[in-house]
Amino acid sequence: MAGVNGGWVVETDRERCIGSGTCAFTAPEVFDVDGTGRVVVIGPVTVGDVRVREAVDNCPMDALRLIEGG
Amino acid sequence: MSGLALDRARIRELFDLRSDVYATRGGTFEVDPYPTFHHLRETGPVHAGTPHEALGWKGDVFFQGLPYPQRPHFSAYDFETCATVLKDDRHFVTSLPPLPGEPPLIDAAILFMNGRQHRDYRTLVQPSFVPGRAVWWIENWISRTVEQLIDAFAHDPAVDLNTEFCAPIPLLTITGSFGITVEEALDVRAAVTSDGQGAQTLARLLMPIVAARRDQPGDDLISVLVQAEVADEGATVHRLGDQEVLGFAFLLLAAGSGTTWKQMGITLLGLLQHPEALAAARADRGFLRNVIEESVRWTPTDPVFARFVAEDCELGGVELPAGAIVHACLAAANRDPSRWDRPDEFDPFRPLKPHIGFGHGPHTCLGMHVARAEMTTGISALLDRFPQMRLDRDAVAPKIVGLYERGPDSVPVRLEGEG
Repeated sequence: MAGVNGGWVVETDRERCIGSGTCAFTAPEVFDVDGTGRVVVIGPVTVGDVRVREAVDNCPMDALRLIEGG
Repeated sequence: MSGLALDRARIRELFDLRSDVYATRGGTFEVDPYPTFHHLRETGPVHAGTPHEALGWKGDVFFQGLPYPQRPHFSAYDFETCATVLKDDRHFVTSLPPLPGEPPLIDAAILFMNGRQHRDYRTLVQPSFVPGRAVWWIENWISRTVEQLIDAFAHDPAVDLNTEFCAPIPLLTITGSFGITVEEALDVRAAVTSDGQGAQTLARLLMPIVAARRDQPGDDLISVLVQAEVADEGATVHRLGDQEVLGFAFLLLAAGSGTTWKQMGITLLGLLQHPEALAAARADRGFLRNVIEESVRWTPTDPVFARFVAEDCELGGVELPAGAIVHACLAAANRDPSRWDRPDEFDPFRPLKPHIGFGHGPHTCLGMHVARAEMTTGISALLDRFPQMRLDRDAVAPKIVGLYERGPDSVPVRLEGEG
């Protein structure tokens, strides 16, 4: 599951997610909440994007995990 | 001139933090609590007792997690500990079975649900409250309300935005989304602020709408609720009954019609008292995002939320017994100097950094994106319509008051001309 070619990958735990939209507010080009009220990754995750890291760190349910590829 | 049939005198009465309506939330508390919060954080992280006792407040208090006189109380004031309390829903829950003499649980409200049940019920309404749904709220209810309210005072030289603008926007947005008429909106507000005594009034106003939407769903929240399906413990799927719909409605109306009123007032005061921030917002409406987040960090209208301790545990070096109540003072956490430089300053130019002014964990504010949309739309429209708008220096100086619900007692502005 490590990032490919040193890239960043975000793992989502849709069982934990409550759809608060914290990530979609913080990094709207990367995250959204679907019609069932669960997170979906909608855009590419750019290495070093501080807003992605912030969205992951601030998830109220710890439902996001950032995997920094080496 | 206005399309809104609102009783302005009644609005002033219902939305006055110093009035009887807010007495049990410490509405007449006028001391700046933050110096005490700093002291408590520095001597904490966890203290025995409640925040209002620490602040020297002697009155009766009726709020989430209060009064519960039979239970031991603790409180926390730093960012890490408060975030933990709000997030760790194994040890810290929003309800426990009542002790003898305590009121019965309101089991139809998601505010008091825990774990899986909370998640399943919150999911029913969550899709209506996600960031992508903000446009639905703005186009259906917020913009029209904002424009009509401005039309009502646009030709006055001065106005108190607290009662004429900040109070009615969230009330009319949430009641509008329920299909409640403007004429009945103030009855709803009176019902949801009467310490739980207004359920009958609300049922009388809402049941005809619920019945009508069961027959013919529309594009509104009651239609979402009556069509929602939830699985029981036995995995049987059922539609929400009338009592469940009313429970949901009560919470959404109470939370939606009060908090954003006060937070919008706090945000406007912050802006009007900081000319460089006001100028930046006038030049770039996108800057309002920073202004609003800084307002919710600097002075969140609901400064404290409580959790029940589900099992014996240790928090910040203090042993908490099962059944105790711990108050997470998120207002103090939002000014933790280990996380923010100059934490007492309202400075929207500081880098955006996540705060817990909308809470944290599974009960994170459901309506936060709607609240942001209301504040953004409202303040943006004021800046569009009144290029000269500024604080009214002839009026009594505004003050942020209140204990468990905080907000300005007025937001007096002059609309035209040079001051």
